[in-house]
Amino acid sequence: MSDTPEPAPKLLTNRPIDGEISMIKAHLMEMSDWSLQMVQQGMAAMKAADPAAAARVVGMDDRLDAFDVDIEHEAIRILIARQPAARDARTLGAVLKVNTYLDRIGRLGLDVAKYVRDTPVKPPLPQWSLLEMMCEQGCSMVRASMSAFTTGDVHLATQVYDADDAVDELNRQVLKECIHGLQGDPPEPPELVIYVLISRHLERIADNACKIAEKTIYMETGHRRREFLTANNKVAL
Amino acid sequence: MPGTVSIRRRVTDWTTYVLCLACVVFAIGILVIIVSSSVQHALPAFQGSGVGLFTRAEPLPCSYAPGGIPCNDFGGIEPVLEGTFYLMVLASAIAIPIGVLAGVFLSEYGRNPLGRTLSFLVDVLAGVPSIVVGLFIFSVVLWWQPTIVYSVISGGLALAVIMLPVVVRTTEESLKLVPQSTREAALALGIPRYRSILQIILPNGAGALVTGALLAVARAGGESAPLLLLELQPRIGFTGWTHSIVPIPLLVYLWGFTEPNANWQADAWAAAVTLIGIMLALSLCARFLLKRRLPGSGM
Amino acid sequence: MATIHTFPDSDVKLTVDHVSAYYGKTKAIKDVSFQVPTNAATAIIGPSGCGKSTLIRCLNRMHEVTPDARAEGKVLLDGVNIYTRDPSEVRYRIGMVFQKPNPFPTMSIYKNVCAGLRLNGVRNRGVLDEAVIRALKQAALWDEVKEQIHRPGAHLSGGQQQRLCIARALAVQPEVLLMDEPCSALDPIATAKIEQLIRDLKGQYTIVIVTHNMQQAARVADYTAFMYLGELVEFGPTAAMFETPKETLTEQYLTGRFG
Repeated sequence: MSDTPEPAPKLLTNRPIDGEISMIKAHLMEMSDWSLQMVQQGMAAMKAADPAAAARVVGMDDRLDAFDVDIEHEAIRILIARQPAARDARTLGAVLKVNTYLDRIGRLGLDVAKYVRDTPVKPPLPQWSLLEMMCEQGCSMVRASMSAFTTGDVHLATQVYDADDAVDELNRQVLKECIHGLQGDPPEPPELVIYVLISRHLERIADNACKIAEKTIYMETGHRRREFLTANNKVAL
Repeated sequence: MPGTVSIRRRVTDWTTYVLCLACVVFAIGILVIIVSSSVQHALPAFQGSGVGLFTRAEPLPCSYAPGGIPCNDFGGIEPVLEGTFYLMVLASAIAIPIGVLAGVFLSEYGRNPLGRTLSFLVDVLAGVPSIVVGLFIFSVVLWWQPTIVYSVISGGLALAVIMLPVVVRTTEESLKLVPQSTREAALALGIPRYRSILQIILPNGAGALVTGALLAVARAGGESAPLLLLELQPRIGFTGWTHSIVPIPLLVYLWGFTEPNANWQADAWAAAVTLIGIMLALSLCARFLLKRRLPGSGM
Repeated sequence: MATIHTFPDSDVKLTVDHVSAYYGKTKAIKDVSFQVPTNAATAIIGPSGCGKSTLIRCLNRMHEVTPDARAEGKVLLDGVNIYTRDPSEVRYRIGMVFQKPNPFPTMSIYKNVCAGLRLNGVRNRGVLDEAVIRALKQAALWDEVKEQIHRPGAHLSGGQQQRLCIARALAVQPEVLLMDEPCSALDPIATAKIEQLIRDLKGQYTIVIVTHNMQQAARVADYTAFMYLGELVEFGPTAAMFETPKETLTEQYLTGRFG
């Protein structure tokens, strides 16, 4: 034990990498907004069975791709220049993963838009309301997880996880209702099948939101979600 | 006006240069005068005895020589060469080992206030006038063994005391030039300290060390004051360690100043020239070693 | 409170046990304890003045060579406290390579490498030859100097000189090799060669390396000790420590927050 308390080191609060990380997180936020727009516009195009709207969504793909590539370049540049360790290193690793997740989210919206061309369903069938709920929840999960990621809010990240169950439940419900609908009397049109596919896509969007939350926990604590929860005496599901 | 300033500066530059040059010329000029006048005065002796100057004993003037015995008006200075040689050998044998070990101590074990004090005292010893050293040895030997007061031994002791601080100082300084990293490297290999000193550090500083020894010998070779005291019953040549002896500087005094015979005076000059020659040889030797053979000499 | 990783006894080569070191009245190392695992590379990192060089010099009793320096505590080599043994014997078994390459200037490459053996009494020419070749090969220097081993080592490049010093240290076959910022004075290519050398040697020797370059520690060391102001703050497996340090001070140092 030391005889006198050791003096606290003078800490730098404005390292160059701090600014760079803030900027790259801001870019990810922009990318997430764009991805969510693609999802919501894809869903809207599907609901209205509007091929023009769907084509617009397909046109959004280029910018999504550009986000992906630019953010990746930025992250690699920081890695080379700053050779970060500890939290900074984890953050950049997380940035690269989140980049991929957001790209997937946007692409899922794109897939929904593509169905409009091949399998339009006009007017939307009753089961559509479930899909709308799923989309709303999924999008809010993405927003929450991105907010948690940007601010490093571990608590919010765990809450995102908890919301996943509801979306899974809705997914199961959609499947049940669609089967029921197809066997009904009179049976719904066979295009209903497309709703099952869309439901899966929306469930995957929620999944990716959970992955973003998981990465947030890792970035902040260095632990995976399970370790973090057990360390905080919570139960991992 | 830039023009005038630059002219003034150039004049000053040039004046300074000429002044310094003149001083150098003055200093060298003195050396040239000493050497040339010595050679000039010694010429008769060289001409008269030739090589025999260095092999024969004192001259035997033909006016004193009994009939039939070979006589020579100039003779030789061989006995004083012997004198210088034996005194140098004895003084070196005493001063160099002691001086080197003392220098080793000061450099390796004396990097502390005690060591610095001892080093300072060695410097003080270097400043003691040589006649006082002679007087000191005279009184010590008188007390210890009066019969050898006038002897090679006492002369050698006096010269050793004069040589000692030079050897200590140069050893200490040359060993201090060995970088600490070398010592650490040796210790880190598990080499015992005394071994590292003897086999790594000393060889490293060997060049400067040998140079220092040679310069010490040269210095002692030219000392005359203590020997005036200690060789007052001069013999011709080496007759024994306990007997007196005459080295070159003493001869220069005895025959150069007090001897009326012109030939013997010339002999004294010849001896002086020889001494200068020996000094020159030792210095050249030191420079040669410095440049070529031994490492650690800082060149 | 520090986070110190421990090992099973069979894996430990050196045990640092409550070591403190002083320069005169200044306490440079405050009660440091940790274990150095066998046949692995352990790095000591920390900001300037944290005591890392002092610590490594305590591991082979070179610290006491500095005037007015002393150490307290125990350093156990295979269970035996080196402070109770003859220092020369200790340094024979625990070798050291310094920051600035320091081959003996008056000696040839050959004589440099076998200096440790020769000056400890080994005279047999055959034994010395074999040791020199083996050591130069281990130090990845043999191919570059085999034509000129009897020439002085002074004209070698900085990186080669440092590898010569490493060969010299290896020739006596120590059990532990201490390296005090061995690459500080070298260019990046020479540094890379020495880092590769460390990776190659650590299967055979226990290596402790002080470095001010965190990335170097990340590249070569299996375990890392982080020191601050004379105290050991954290010690553990390098990869885990650099990814998720347990102590706040370590995190602050690794992320370059020390101003």
